[in-house]
Amino acid sequence: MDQLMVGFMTIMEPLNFLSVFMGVLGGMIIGAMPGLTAPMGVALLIPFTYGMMPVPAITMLVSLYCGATFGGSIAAILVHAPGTPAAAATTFDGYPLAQKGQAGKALGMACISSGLGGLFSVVVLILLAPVLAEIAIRFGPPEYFALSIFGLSMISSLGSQSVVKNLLGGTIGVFISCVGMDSISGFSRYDFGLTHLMDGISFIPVMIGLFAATEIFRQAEGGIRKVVIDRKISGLLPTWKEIKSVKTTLVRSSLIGTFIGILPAEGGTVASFIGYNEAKRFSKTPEKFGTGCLEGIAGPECANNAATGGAMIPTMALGIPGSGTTAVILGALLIHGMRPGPLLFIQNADVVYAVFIGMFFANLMFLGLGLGGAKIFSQILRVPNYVLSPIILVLCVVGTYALHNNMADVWIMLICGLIGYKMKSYGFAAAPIVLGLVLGGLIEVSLRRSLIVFDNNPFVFFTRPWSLAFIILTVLGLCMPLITSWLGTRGEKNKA
Amino acid sequence: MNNKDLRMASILMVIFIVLFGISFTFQSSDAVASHTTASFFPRLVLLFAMFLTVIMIIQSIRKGPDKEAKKMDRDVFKRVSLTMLSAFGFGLGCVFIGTLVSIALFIVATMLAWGVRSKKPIILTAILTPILIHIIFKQILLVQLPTGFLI
Repeated sequence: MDQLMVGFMTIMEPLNFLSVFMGVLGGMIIGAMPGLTAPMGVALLIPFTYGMMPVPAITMLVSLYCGATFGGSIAAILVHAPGTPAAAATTFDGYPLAQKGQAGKALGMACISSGLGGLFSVVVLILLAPVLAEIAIRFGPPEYFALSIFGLSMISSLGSQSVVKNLLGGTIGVFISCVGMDSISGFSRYDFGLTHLMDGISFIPVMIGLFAATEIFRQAEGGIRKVVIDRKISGLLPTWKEIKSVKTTLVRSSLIGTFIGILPAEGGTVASFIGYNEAKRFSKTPEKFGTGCLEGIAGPECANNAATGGAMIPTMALGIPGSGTTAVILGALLIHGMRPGPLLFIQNADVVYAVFIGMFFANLMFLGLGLGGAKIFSQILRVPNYVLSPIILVLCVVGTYALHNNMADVWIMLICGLIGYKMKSYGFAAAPIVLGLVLGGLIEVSLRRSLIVFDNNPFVFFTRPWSLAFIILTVLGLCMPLITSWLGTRGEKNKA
Repeated sequence: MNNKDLRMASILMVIFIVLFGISFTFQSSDAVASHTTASFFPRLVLLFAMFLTVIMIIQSIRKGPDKEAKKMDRDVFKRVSLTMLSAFGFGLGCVFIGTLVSIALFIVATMLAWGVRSKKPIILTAILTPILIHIIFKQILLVQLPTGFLI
């Protein structure tokens, strides 16, 4: 409780409060623009935080994460193009409601649901993360190895449709983390005689390249795009009766979103689709879904924002990212000299609790900003992509250079952008590669330390309860897509 | 090869084999156990990657050739390649002629490559962006920008 009070007082300092506000504002702008995603926004913002103290820097990033997750619904409702992948399910009912001339009500419901979902998940984050950290502090290298392997296995359901491609992407990410000096033997690997590669490949250039530069190259495919908004936004607040009618959906989606967020590598996109499906399944009027029903907006919007707090739980307590965006936030924590994991709650408790309180305020803030400024944010959609895209690429180059004042990082970023673009055209997603890169170091060190400490015994991972539990979960996680596809095929055969 | 996945898997397999071969050139001390050598983990990862690539190859062969072999439109190809080229040119420009001038040149080149013909947005963006970058990064955030013989 004392730590929370300290965190509260820290966030109340003008600079920190301003960071939350700027993060939410930036997030809502980025989220509102189709094609600009939350991980891209966070990756682009990191260079702006280099010179900042850890509290304003990290709170700004997490606030952007919260703001962008809600911001995605603005474009989803007004132009039927989700601003972020997590808002895809919002288009199902948000856009039809806007077409009925009730765009304001749709935006209001999205804002209230997102805010409530986000606030709920932050409360869970505050309660659960320290408990999880307390458990994890007893983890040794075998548990960390099994846990990070479990985190990596969960990427099989991220981004692209193919499990094999996702796992291959994750493995490529782990391989990239091998470049540079080996931390145990001290010998260099895959540096090809380049001194810059001896230090390894930094997360940030790879993340900016894969999330931002790749997206700009993809935008170039589509060419000039102008968004026309022909719907007038009026009457932003849904009535009290309408809010009460979706209260069960809000509770259910908050729980679903937070739980999905906690699962390593699962993020807002998965949560929002499950939130939508469950809202429809439990609804008294499922036939109204898809025609502009408020439950169809509340379900996914509440779930995707609830996933933000949920995703921060494994990121902060275990050092295992809960989503693509939290993988980038994890990279930012490392840049600011903090190692996410149980020790973070002891060594940097002041920062951790300030970030939690900052996240709580971020959710309150976009609730206010969203309800009050939806009309203004909808205007952002009018900025043409041919103006925005080159500016983003400029930010990519300048921001990457600023990391170490080194052009080598810029070349790595551009090459990753190029590779990411090519791989995306072959059905590979960026998030698994980034997650693999973030987890790679931990996997290698914990595996090799386990083998050193436990006398080269590979069975050590199966004899310790926590590590065995994570391995069982890994196997189940990997088999799940196979089981569901087999069940699906069997169901289709039975129907035939 | 009218099968995108098979093509990609074959390229990846060749890359992984080459990288696996390179791992034999790493220095190591004779006195240490295999799992403590620098090559232990990369080889393990590459073997797993090769295993996944084999699955991808099998899947793509079973799937057969792509039904609709989409070819990139000439204009799209031109736009994407020019954007990539100007991005790399921008990087080189930062080193040789300086960041701020390169930003302006990059923005003009990219917008023209995208087919923008109206002069007003091109000029405005090309002038305002370097000014804002200079103010935000150099003046406020005190970040160093690469400098060439110009600014």
